[in-house]
Amino acid sequence: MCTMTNTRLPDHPPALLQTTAVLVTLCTASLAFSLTSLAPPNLVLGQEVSADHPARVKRGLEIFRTHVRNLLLNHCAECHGIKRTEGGLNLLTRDGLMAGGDSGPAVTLQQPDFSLLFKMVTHEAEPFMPLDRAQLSAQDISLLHTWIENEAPYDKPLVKDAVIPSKERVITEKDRQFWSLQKLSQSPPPAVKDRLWSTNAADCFVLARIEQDNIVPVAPAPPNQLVRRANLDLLGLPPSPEMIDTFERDKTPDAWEKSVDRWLASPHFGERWARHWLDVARFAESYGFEHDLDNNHAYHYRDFVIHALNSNLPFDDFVRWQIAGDEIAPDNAFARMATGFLAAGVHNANIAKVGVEPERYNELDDLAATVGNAMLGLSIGCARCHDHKFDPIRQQDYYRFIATFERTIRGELELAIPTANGTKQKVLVAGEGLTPLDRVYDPPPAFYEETWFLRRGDTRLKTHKVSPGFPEVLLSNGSVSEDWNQEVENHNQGTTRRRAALAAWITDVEQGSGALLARVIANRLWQHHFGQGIVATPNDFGQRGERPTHPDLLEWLAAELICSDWDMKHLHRIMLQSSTWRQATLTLGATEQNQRLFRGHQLRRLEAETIRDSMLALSNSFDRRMYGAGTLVEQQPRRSIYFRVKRSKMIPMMSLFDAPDALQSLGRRPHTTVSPQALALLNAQYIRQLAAEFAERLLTDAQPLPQVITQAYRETLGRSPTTDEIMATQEFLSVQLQEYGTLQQREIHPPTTAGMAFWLDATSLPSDTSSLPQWTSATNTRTFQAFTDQVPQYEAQATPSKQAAVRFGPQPTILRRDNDPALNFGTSDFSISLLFRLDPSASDDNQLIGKDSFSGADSYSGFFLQHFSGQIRFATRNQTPEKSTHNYLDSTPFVRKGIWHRVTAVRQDGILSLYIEDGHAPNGTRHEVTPTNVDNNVGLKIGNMDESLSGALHGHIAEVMVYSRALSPTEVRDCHKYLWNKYLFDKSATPQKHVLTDFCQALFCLNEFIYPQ
Amino acid sequence: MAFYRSRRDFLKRAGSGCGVLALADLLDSEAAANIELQQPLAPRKAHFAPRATSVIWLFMHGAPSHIDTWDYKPDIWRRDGQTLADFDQSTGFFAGAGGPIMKSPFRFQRHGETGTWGSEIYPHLSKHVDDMAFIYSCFAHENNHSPAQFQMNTGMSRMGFPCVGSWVTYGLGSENRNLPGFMVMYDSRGRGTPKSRASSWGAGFLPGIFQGTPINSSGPPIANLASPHNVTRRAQRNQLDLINQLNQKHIARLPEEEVLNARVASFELAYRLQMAAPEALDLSQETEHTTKLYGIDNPQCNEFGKQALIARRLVERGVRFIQLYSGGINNDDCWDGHVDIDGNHRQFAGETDQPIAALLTDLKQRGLLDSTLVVCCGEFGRLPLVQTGGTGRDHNPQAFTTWFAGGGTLAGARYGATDEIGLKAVENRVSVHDLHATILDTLGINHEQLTYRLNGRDFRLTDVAGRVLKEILK
Repeated sequence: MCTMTNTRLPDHPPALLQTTAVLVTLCTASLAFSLTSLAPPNLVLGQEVSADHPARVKRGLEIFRTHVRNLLLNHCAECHGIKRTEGGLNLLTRDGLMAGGDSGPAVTLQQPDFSLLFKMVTHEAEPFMPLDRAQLSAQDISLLHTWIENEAPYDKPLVKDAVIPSKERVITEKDRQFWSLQKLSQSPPPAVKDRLWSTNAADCFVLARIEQDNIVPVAPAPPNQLVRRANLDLLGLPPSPEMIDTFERDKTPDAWEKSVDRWLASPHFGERWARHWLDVARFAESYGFEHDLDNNHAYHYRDFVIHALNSNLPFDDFVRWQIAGDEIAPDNAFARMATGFLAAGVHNANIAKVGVEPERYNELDDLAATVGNAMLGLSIGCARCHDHKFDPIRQQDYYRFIATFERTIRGELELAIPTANGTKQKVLVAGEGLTPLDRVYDPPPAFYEETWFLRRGDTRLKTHKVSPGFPEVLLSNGSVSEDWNQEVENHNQGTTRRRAALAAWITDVEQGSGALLARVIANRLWQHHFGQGIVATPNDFGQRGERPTHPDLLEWLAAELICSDWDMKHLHRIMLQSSTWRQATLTLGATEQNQRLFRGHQLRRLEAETIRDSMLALSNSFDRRMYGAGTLVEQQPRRSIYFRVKRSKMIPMMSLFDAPDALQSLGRRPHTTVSPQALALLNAQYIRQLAAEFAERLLTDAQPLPQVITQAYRETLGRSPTTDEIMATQEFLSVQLQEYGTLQQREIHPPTTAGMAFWLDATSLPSDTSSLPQWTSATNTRTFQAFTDQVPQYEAQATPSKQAAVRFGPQPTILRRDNDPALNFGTSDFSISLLFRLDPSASDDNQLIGKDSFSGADSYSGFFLQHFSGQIRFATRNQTPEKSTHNYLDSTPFVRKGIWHRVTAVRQDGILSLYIEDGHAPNGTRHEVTPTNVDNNVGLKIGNMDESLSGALHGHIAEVMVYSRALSPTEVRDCHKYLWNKYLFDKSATPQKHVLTDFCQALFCLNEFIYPQ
Repeated sequence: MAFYRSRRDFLKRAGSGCGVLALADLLDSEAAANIELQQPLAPRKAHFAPRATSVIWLFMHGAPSHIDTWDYKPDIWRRDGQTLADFDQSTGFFAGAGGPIMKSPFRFQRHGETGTWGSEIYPHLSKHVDDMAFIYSCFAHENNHSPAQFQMNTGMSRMGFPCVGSWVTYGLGSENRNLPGFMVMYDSRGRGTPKSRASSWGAGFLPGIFQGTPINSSGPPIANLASPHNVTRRAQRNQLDLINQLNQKHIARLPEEEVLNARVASFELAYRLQMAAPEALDLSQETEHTTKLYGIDNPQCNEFGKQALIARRLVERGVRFIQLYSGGINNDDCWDGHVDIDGNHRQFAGETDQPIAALLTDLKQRGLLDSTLVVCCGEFGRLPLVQTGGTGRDHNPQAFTTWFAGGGTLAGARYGATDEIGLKAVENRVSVHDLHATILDTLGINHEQLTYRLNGRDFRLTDVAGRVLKEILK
């Protein structure tokens, strides 16, 4: 036995250290007694302690009383004993100090330098203490040092009545009695005074509550309002005036029921309601972070949701497939597509090695949080770093929950897609045993084979391994998580069936969380139909969430759902057919109390998608095709649900009207009212265009003017205008007519010819195509030759103003001009301005013009202007066998197939700019890395850069202007104005159409348009 | 503070625009849950008297090297070329690429009455050191750009959380009803957005209106600002009058729906914004003396100079929070000097030094510096070692320097320290949450009380941490 010394032992050999530690532990075991009795003995349990032990304890106590006590209280005790027991360490008593925490003993007596506590406060060991606070002063540190050297005694606990709290929260019966966690309790619909008002049982619950306040419900809304409201609610589109007429004329008693059924059977129903679920599922098609890499096969999940809702897939299957479609129904393509739910979260591919494991835990956290919020309305994710502060979810529950997804990764499968006529396509799915998707750097492990309990959620603080399981508070009748494992039959060999077990548990009404699942979805449907949920916090059914305003109604709806075998349309029908839903909007006393009672219809703004889809449906370019890959082009003609959701490029108009950012589950969108929304409605070119198309359609459909006005009101607002409104409108139209009186005398100012190097003007070409390919350009007479066998076609009256254009494709067609000294720009400035239109059937990759070679030449340099996926790319590049330098500038997405577009590219002082449409440059500029030589090593080509089919232009070009200098922004604007006036201005358009466009746009801006009654 | 009985009551008052709402009302548990703010940008009173009313945040994107700019470490000259034996090779982004200690290529000297050390790449800014408060002991948690930028902008290293500017606008609203409250300018030399892209000014889970408005470097500065071509101003005014007239008839039928009035007001605001924004951004109103001060005649710094000058003009017009980014998305296009610290930092200091110095001079002489907090930082620092294969430095989340000026910060304050070679912050370490808590404090906001409830949790900019750095405040 070695003798204790009170000198510091920095050079102790390990063996000696260990022995010392044992001895120290033994001899301090009784210190508590010795200190409380204040009679320090020399000998304890027959063990020898050093002679100066009492003196040291005395010294230690003195320091404790004068300094250390306050120091611990001020800097440590809050997290280590008073409010929490971080890291399992409780410093309130000396027993707690000596017991240490999860990382081991806090102090080694007499050896402060080896004590973990001391190392952490001196920032020698992490985590540095006090955590995220300033370091202790040198004096404090030195006092702690001396205190530990002198046996680290306490005279009494830091606070009165200190007890060491239990490390783990125990789930009690009281926890299980929280309203949302109970089993379903069904009470019959209550008795009501007004027996005639209710259409179904749901109404009784609402009416009984209204009658409690001694008031009566609101009378039904007029039929036209009902049809408009329902069409927007169920389909997200405005009803046609004919639909309203038909309903108004139908006097059969079940007219409303039949209409509801028709809406529910429309394919547009799924497109509308899928969007609600996609918010909850934080659906996107890119992975976020710096690179925001795309997944081009993620949209199949969106198609699954649309199809599932249209085909009324039972909700329990809907949930089961999203969690474990691969394990439950591996041969069902829809079930596989459904697992896109798990794959839709963010994922950081650009991480250093040290970040891989934390990132994996982040991914698992995303799954736990999303499943928790979306399916169960529980913030399970809050228990990542500690037991849930409010709800009975322990940190242990959290880690067991994420262990369910331990081996679940993203992958791609080739599936026969039912929504694409069974064609085989790649689909982003989640599952086990998949080939992980490519990462940016060395592929790190896609998953880890074990899941650890992490203190404070920190991967450096692993405590113990956990097995998969479900939150204990949602296990009834003494069942345990493993029960569901046994029940699941494994069809898909090679998976752990953990998610199948979760799917079974989450839909298990008796012993799992099925009742909660049903309550949460019933509430979501109610919220979207009535503007507010029975529980106002749809993603939080916990302590911090709101309580149900009509608990019995929610129970009844949940039970209806379950008893109908999870028939979603059954619930929709109940809600839509109810008298509650059919009430009129309150014109007076629209108070919060009425809202809570569901008395009267609650006015609310349409969502971003419905605003846009409504305008689109009124235009004449609405494309009703369903399913398939989406696009980022804001002007695309399909419904807004077919926008591609790219996290770094959200569609501006959608975001402006509060569409979510797809990063976390969102149960209820905010509804902001701000001036940028008004700016968009007044000024966005796209909205102007929709208004113009609407005006055009009105002018073709109806005459004379008063009828046109009436029709416009009926189509936008679902009602005829009042006399006042007709008068106001007519007055407006006549004032605008004066304003635009000179509209038809539009002068065409030709563009500047200063520095013009080449000019292809379709209108000055011979209309006789037989004289091709020996074309001549307008300003100079040099020939311009067709390069392939395919000759571009001259097409008279191709543009809206009935002007000619040249048609390229579908076969590769190239116009080419070689060795023209005027087109030798070297490294100096140049500009290209052109008007083009892609064929509706064109591919997503079209070369417009350039001096470039795609045919594998070893060395060349030049530029090109290309369309790809809605964007225009202006590039200069320099290729040698050793090196290639590319300079790319991409426009924002704006190109719509079938629509004429104006674009100008300018290189000035090595800076590339792109101007579109009215001559604005929406996406900045690009500096060339090195000056690119644009001489005649390659000729000027229009239509394609080589003879391959991919990239060949399939569409029209009406005019090309090339300059050997940089056009100024003003010149570009003039040039685009020239192109507009010459080719796009519709001469047949009357000023009447122009002012009618102003009026249609004004209708889009009306409160009544986006706040349906 | 007034107490509102119900959410709706709150809303009615919020919508009526009579008087200034207090931030505390936003924190009332019901109101905090409310997301249907009708006039979300109406100005609100702070928790306590603010020192600053505006913030200009200069984000040196890509992460400047603290030891080559402000944190002078003589030991890296003394130990130049020595291998650091116990260096953890997973610190930087490129594991295993940490070479020996590398001295700074720049000369350092003392400046001002405070004798503050500064590198030669800041000839202009070094004249202002006595007005600046330096924090030498900042640290971050992430060793790559986008997560670290998320952390610097939102407090969290994951996507989906609101930026400081969004929190501030949510808390305080906007003083100028014709301009957005949170505006952002990023690289105008065509080098792209910051690496964290539009999330750099995103509102996360806060209502979208609180997101930053990026000012485009060419074309219309703000989306949809220009009327459609061939709609004259007068025609648009007529159109607005018709909209108003028809809306009024509708409102008469639904008199209690406040949101309908708020929406009418939003159209009028939009109409005014079309005039106000171009005016705010129009530098032709500035004297030649001023534009020269900002280096707008100097091709190296003219772009950042214009943006710095616009920032001052926005502050004058009551814009609450303005963020400027130096550098674009690619490594070579920002402060990310992996390969050549000398060339990289000379270039980016050259782009920003004169404009930032001019901004401080200009704010001071106009009496705006006291009420404008200027913040300058990167997302982390750089290693004192050479990155193998070049003469640059890899990322270092363990230490970096942030400086503040104005807005009630203590001129000349020096806080915290790194170790002798600048590898780690060791003395008075300052986390990103601490920086955020301090910024909010200057604006009169208690960082523990600015919350937003989402999915059952009250979120804060500073999460569960954050300490106000009283030491650098007046």
